[in-house]
Amino acid sequence: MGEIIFLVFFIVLCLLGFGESTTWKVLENDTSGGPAFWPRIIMAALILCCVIRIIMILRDKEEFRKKFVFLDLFYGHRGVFLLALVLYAVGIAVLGFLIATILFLNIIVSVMYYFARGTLGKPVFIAVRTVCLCAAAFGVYYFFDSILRIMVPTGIFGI
Amino acid sequence: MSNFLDALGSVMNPEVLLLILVGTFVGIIFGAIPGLNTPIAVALLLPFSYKLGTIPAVALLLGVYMGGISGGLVSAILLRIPGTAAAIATTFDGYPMTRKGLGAEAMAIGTFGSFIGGAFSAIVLAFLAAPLTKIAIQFGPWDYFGLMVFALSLVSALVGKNVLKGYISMLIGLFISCIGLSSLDGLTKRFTLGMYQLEGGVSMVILIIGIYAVPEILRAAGRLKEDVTTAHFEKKRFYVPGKENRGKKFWPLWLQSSIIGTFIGIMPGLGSSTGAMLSYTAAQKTSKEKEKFSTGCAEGIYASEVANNAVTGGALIPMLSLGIPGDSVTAIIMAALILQGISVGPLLFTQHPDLVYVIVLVTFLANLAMFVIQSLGIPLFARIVQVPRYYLLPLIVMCCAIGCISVNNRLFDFYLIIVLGILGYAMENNNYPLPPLLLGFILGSDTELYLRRSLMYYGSFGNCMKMFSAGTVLVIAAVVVTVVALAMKSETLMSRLRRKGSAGTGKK
Repeated sequence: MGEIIFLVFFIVLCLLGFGESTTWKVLENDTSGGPAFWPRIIMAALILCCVIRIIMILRDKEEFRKKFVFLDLFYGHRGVFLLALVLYAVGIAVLGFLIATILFLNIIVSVMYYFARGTLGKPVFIAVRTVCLCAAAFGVYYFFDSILRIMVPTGIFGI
Repeated sequence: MSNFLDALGSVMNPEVLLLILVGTFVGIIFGAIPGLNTPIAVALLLPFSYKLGTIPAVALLLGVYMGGISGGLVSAILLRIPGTAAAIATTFDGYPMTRKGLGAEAMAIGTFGSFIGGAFSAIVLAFLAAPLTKIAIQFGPWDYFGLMVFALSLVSALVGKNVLKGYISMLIGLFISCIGLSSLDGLTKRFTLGMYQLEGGVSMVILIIGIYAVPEILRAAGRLKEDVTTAHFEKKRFYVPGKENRGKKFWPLWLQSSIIGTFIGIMPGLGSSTGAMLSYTAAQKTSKEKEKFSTGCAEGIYASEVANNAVTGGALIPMLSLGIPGDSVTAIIMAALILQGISVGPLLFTQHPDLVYVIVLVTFLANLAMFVIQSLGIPLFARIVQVPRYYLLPLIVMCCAIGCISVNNRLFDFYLIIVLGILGYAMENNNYPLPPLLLGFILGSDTELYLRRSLMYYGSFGNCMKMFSAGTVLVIAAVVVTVVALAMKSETLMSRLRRKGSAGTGKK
């Protein structure tokens, strides 16, 4: 059933795309079909393939009962990591790359270390780990910002 | 002959040799880190090349090019995250070998294969540049369209177990490639949802990280308690593949992959990822042990790595002969030569024949340097998989984040990789193969461009098909491949045939 929802999502997306493509203008001297020509071919083909796949699933009971692997992404360790990833992305915008990276590395490494080993480790080990992770974040920041001259987000603190 | 000797004298200079080594090393590093790639490395080193002479500049940039294409295999084999698009097909068999504890051997195979492909294309560059270019120049937009449709159908039909799922995946890739300004007129904003960040389309680096790196990271995050894979390797200084993985039985495969890679390289715009994937599917098709593919076999790694490095020499052929760069990196290298006052194109062979030989020699030496550096570095690289996941995954995320941000200097791309990562996770875990999606994305805009140009030229699709040309043959071949693959992989049809077969035997 999950796969049918997944395929219906693409069918709806293509139908919306079809609707949008009607607003695209074609130049008078354009004899190639215009900007909507190619996307419409793709969307029509995608709808066709999805419909065939849905029919195949509905006709085959085994396929219909097969679990669609997707929701486990939001549970357990994976869910925590995905949440951390989203928070890291938001954190970069708010706090800047350097601060967000230092926080992300230290928090997520500690959490994952705990998940894997059931402990956070000895205080000395935690201190060494924190220093190493901060150094890694600084190293990457320095390499990209100062050597490669790539502008990284600075956030509200301007760092 | 005197030109060749002059070129040899110029290249066998400590400064040039050192620059080849430095360039190759930088290329490997940029290729190995997901998010960074060869065009970025070549573009970053371009300003330094102004200060150098023509030959040292060529040595530096070609070194980066050769190293970068091959460097992608490191993360592809060890982490299942292709460092570059060229290394996507390397993950199919490279990573399963790493999971078996044979990461070092897989890297040695990949490195050796890269050297073979690169050396082959350098030889082709030396002897066949002019005649091959004459063939390539006769390809019109309809022929290119046919070639791309054939490549798309071949990969979609043969990669994965279900042809329909392969096609859905490829069509999603083509759909994503439509996002942004339309390719021929550049006037219409397509599927941008009102976001100016999408007007330039989705960057290839972002898509690779999104659909390959993020799902793999999330999958690995769910397996924190599993034992870390150990890469078995004997303690030695220089790594070459084991005897069973470099015998005479591989020669036909090396030749086939080298020819495919070089040919794809000559075709402007197709690129090393297309070459590697076509070579992989061709190797799978021609192999006597098809079932071994995607389970961790040497043939799969060779097919991908030989072809993607063979593309490099091939891509230089139209650049040198016609002034048409084969890919984005050769475009930057061409710019570097123009800035040095060299006019690239047919006149190069008459005005600077020695420079052509210099490029051939540097291509060969850069491949040799890549082989030596990577073979020496295997023990170091192989230890990456031994790093516990709770350290490795956050550090990879950090590299991906900075890699994404560096592409367009904006954070939006990092949000995009999370969305694409969720899509990639859903697709891959439900047997929707990702390579067709990526190939669809890579070839999408060019396929549209060539189709629309053909329609403008011939008037209609029917008129195009009436033409007896390579394009028509390839479009028909694409349909045949799809139908045959559908028939071969259709479980219903196969079970019916099996039943008929057993009934027939029973009667006898």
